[in-house]
Amino acid sequence: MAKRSGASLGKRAGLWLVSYLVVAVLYLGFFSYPVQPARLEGLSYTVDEKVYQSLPYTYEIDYVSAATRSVVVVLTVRTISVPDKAYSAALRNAEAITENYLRQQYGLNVDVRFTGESTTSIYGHSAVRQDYDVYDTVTGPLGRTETLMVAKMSIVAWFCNDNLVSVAAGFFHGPLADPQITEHLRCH
Amino acid sequence: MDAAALILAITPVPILLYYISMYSDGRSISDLFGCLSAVWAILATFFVLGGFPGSLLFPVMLGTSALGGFLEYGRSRKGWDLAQGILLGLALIWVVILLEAI
Repeated sequence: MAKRSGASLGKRAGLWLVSYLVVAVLYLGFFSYPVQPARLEGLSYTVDEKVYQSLPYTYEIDYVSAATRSVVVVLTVRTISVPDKAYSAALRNAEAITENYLRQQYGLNVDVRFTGESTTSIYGHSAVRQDYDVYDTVTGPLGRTETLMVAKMSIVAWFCNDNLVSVAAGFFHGPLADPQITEHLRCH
Repeated sequence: MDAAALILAITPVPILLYYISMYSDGRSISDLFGCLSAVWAILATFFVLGGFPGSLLFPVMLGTSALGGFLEYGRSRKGWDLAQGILLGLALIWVVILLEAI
């Protein structure tokens, strides 16, 4: 069959532009579509939840337990599939973010130290986990300063393919407590 | 399947319609491979919902479109088709390196 002349360059460029504009609008619709938030189930915590931002749509749930002196923050973000390496790179910002947050909110000058990364399974999903120790420098009654571990922090992140969201959960607890948080996280 | 998944699945449809229109006008191999690339993007949403790694979405799309450019150049010997193959091939290499690097 002989090849036909084909569309003019102007028509081709115009249709291409319109097509990709519609694609951009659809992507905006996808990334701003409300998520079904991941939750911590089966534990007794005081819950505070809110829409963190609308693009990409991000829902934040904070769980606080005065009894165990632990805090769990769960963020559910509308995303396309993200490789584990991306989560790993993103989570490494947690050190600086946590130090700045505690300094600005509570005037605490803590030192957050990365202790390791592993892969864990959360309700059938493979998740990246990073662990941190939180140190504070305190001055004793005799004027001697000491650096003590005051808390532990763990962060997990994974892509929940069942409802197209990324979940990041951070939990902070005393150095002696070891709450089994990951067993209670659900994203669908 | 919720509405967000449906929106993501129909996102490549305008591109598919564009390539169908172009292919019906000119019967170009690169437009045919553009159609295949868009169909792959639609199907990939359902594959990802089923647990397929989504990191393969863009490499397969770019690879298909680049191959279409090279095959069309083999037929037409037009510089534009060769440029499409080379540019999309470079984009594919860049995406693969980026996915490895992050």
